[in-house]
Amino acid sequence: MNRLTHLSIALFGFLLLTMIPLSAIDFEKDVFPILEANCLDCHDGETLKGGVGLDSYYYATLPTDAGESLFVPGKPADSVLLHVVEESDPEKRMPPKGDPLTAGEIATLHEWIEAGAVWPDDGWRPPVHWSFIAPELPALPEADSMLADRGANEIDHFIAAKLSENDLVINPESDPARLLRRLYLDTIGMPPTIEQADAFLNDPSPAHYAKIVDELIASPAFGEKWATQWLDLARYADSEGYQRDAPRNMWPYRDWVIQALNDDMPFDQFSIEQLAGDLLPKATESQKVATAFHRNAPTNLEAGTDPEEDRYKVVADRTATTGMIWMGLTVGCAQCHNHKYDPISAKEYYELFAFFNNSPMETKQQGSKMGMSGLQHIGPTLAVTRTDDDIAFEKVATATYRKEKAEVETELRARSAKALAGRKQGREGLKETTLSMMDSEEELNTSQMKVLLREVLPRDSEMSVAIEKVDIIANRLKAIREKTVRVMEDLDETRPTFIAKRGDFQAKGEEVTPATPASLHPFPGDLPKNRLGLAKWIVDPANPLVGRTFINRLWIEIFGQGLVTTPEDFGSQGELPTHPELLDWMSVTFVETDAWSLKKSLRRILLSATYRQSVALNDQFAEMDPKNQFLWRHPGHRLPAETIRDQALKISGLLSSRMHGPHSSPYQPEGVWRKTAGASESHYIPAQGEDAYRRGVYTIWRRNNHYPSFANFDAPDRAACVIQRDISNTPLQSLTLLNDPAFVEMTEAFASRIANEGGATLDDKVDWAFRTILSREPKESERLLLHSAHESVLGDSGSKTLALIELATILMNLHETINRS
Amino acid sequence: MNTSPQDLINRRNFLSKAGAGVGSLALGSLLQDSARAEAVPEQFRRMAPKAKSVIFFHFTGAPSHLDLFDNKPVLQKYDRQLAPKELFEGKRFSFLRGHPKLLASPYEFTKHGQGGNELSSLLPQLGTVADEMCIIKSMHTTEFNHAPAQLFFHTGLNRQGSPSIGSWTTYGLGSESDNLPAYVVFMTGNTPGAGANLWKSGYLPSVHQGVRLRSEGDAVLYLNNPEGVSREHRRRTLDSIEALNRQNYELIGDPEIQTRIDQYEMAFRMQASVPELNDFSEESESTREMYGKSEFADQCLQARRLVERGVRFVELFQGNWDTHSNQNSRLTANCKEVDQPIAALIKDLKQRGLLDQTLVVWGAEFGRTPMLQGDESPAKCGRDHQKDAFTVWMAGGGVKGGITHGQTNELGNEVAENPVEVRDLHATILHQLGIDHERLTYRFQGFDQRLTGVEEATVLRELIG
Repeated sequence: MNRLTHLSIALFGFLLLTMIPLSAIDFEKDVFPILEANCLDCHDGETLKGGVGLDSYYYATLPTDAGESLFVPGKPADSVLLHVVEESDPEKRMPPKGDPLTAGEIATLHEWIEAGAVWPDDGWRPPVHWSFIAPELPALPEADSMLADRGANEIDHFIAAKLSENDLVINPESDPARLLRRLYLDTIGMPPTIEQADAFLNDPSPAHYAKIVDELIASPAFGEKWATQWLDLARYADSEGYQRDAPRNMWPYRDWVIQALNDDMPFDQFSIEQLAGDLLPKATESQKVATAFHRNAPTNLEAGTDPEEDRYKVVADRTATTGMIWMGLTVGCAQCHNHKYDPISAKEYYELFAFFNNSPMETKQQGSKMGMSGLQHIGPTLAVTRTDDDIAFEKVATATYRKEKAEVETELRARSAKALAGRKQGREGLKETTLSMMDSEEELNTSQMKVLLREVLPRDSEMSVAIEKVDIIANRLKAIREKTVRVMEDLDETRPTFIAKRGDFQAKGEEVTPATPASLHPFPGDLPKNRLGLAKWIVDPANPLVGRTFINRLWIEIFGQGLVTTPEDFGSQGELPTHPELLDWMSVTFVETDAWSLKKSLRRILLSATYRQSVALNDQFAEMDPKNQFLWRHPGHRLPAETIRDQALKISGLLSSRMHGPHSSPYQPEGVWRKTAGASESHYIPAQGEDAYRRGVYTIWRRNNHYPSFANFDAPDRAACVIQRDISNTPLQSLTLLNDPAFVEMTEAFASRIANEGGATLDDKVDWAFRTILSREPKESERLLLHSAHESVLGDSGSKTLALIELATILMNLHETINRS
Repeated sequence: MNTSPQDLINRRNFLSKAGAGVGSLALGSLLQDSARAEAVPEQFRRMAPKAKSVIFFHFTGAPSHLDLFDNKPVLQKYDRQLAPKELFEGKRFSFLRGHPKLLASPYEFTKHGQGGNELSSLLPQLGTVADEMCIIKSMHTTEFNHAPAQLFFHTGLNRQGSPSIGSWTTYGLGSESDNLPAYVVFMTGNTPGAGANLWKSGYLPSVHQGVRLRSEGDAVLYLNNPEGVSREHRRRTLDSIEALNRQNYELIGDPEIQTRIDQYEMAFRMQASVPELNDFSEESESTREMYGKSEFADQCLQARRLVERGVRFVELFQGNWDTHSNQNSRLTANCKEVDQPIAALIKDLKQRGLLDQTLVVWGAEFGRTPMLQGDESPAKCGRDHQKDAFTVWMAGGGVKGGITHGQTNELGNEVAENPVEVRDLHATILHQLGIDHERLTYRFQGFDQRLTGVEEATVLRELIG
């Protein structure tokens, strides 16, 4: 449509209005003074009580918090404005205080609505928040002189400009050993070996550094490290959540994420496949597996739960999670009322909700009547093609199962025989099948074992637990063989979506259809109004938020805090970016120049002088910028829970290199695992052998029974999307590193490596151990201290082993060990 | 360098750098090596605090208010008769279907003390402290399944991810103990459905999460040194770690390093202070007898010892009160387990002059229906979950004793008088601690979040002395 047509339509409308005088009521003269005198105390654009603002066209025509229209042109009977002033109950009537409106005033409002409720547009709109305006590539600032000879790149230009503006200066370059260790931990989540460190120390040139960056981000271990951040967002876990918290099979999705990151799948594709892979034409198996992303939402299988209510909660979770990850918006706030601060009305929330509301039921009551046994999962599930890796895992799991089962069966037979021998009535009263099981040597299955237990050893709780454990192992084996994952699907027939008044799913308001918020970029007309359309709209380069939120998360992972320090909220209540131009430069570059490549953006950060600077704290700058928002030093923040474990596994030599596959259950103490009635895994069975030493990304994630050392180091339980982990510093962390049997084992294994590989003299050993864990050479004072600590334990105990364990314990517990240095 | 290693180890004082304290301040208060006697920070305060600590009982599964606290003579009249339709029509229950019958309580109710608080015969010992109790019969909630209702009762929201009232309390008040966690959790019986989410810190810094003291294995997970490592040996190891961390601090100057040093010291002190909690040898014989002997009784006694030592919030999850069936035998057993120790705790706190500054709360996620569930026989009958009316009570901490607040209707299925929202209870508890619930906020997702949420919450002034 050209401008001329627009103009003529507007003109025609104007003529229509002026030519047909429908009523003598004048808004400015007759209507607004009534509202002004009676309503604005609570209902102006500031107070907005109930989502009602009557001092501007914009707010007056917006639906209320309850999703209702204040006035419906020509329909006084449907207009809430009239309902509330005409209300007979003084408790509910508006205005709540003072006299009710006079009959004359009400008649005026009535007539005004009847005549079309014309409210002239005053043109006022809430100011557009920075994040809703699409970023444009800003000009690169001149390189500040502080960057001379620093091998600076574009990022540094922006950082140095801000530093200089604030009278701060970038730190000198970090020493090569510390820098290399930091780089390894940030890319692959494990420290370099001494050989790798030496190679860099021998040639610490920028070119060599860049080459190492490239090698590291091409390493398969890269995906294992970087998956954790995305899995926090995706609330990936191996259990259902809530009371029942039963195991669920989602690991093919976790492996999909690792692989996609290793392949550097462009983020637009990465997003589309997870949000709507199932709806792509000729969707591949991998694209369907990706949709498990939204099936990660917790499910309440507790007895007595209403499946429809739970479905509703899950859809709400998907809506809120999508808004938070790709748009940095707290859309969930509009579930019960218009968003108080951002331009998202309750109606728009439900229009977004409608995109996700078309999925099939995921649970149903078990049994016909009372449902005491809880809900059952019935959602769409995909059997995934198995790989050679899976078959290798199956072999191990089968061997474990056979061994455990054989042991338990032998014991059960022995105890049953003994019980039978001591039985007064002998074989009398026992079922024929039971007796024949005992008489025959044929292998028993677990249900037969349970029959035997019930009949012959009814009070043997030890045996009962042993058989339950065999059952758990059998179920795990079954899960490995079946290799299923929950996926998204849409119903053929559209499920209608209604505005839920006050967020109550039973209080149905106006019906809505899928649509995206008006304050964001337009929804292209050629896209379908389903999840696939939504996904494509989300990664439309016109989306002002998608690139910025992505870059911000990347920044958090590397520097511990975002350029926007409220990564879950880019809305008007969030913090403004510390470096708006840098954020926009990186976002535009990410989307346009780099074609959504994570690795290219990451590489740019890792090559920057900002990243390569030292962690040393400067007292004066610390006073001027206590939060280090302008990055005058590398923050040297603590490593995530998984990296702390992975690092310890690596240096102890215990680390398993097996990638992908079912979760691993590393050692944890007895009594920590939670027993829940009805859940099928009521015992924790620690993995044996290599499987106990796999990387943290594979560790079992049970929402209500979080792996304790991970919980102590701030890994979230993933009950909901988490964008930024907390970084705490507590005595429970000290106790974990000192006393968790898993860490003690790793420490002792490290000690034996020191003994075997550390060289001939104690000085050699101290240096070797120090460099294995921290990459750098110890200072003379550090060397002396470790030397003396070793000698003192050796002197007291006479044990070389204990003395080396002392050395290993000290090194494992250093602040520097669990931090980027 | 002339300094010997031993000098380095012994040099326990060193120049703290100007500008330090960035990280440690940001950590708030909990589990830090600093006693914080200054109770309520200015920004959260409204009035002088009455209570310094809270002992919060949560009876997992939800006890029947109709058999313990809320006497309904009318139910006796219609025992095992069909319930009036308005009790169930258009309402949602977990399990009740069809046309259920009513169920009278088989227990006698007696008025106790000067205030005349009424309790059933299942709670004889609590009767002796009835004049300390402030009973609220008009609680109601929005959820009728355990996990969401427990979350709602603890965090004000029915979903996971928000801080519990204990975390809010330590966030607001910090700790007065420098060798124990500020928020301690005990558990006996079934794990509550919502699990550890009930004592997690949600979006608050994770230092504010509750620390569970366990009855089996290490009292605090990983508290004990590995086998063969003595306390003296551990001290020596820690000295070496500290000396190296200190060298690093002198080089880097990051205050997080100083905090790390402090936390290793705190861990070392906890290794002594936590086992000491369980050492009852200094308790008199009569005190031990008063509490009785059971795991739960020991936990009640430990709760007193914890608040004596400045711990801010002690929470005890107990039991299996989800009496859909076999209600009578289960209620009898459950009450027998809790009645004496809780009464003893209140008396003990009072004798020591601690009751005035310790708020004791009896809570649960919801109540139970006047309608009978399952088999009609006295042995097998039970009651379903009920969200619209249930009872909680408080004692000490500046609340009025010997009074009852609010009433339910004739059948006990709905509130008839003075309804109390969960957020009102939360606001009142915070108020007694000297905290203004509207000022106790934390910025998250662009909002100043608070325990009592966005809807208006009211401090129950009628209950405050």
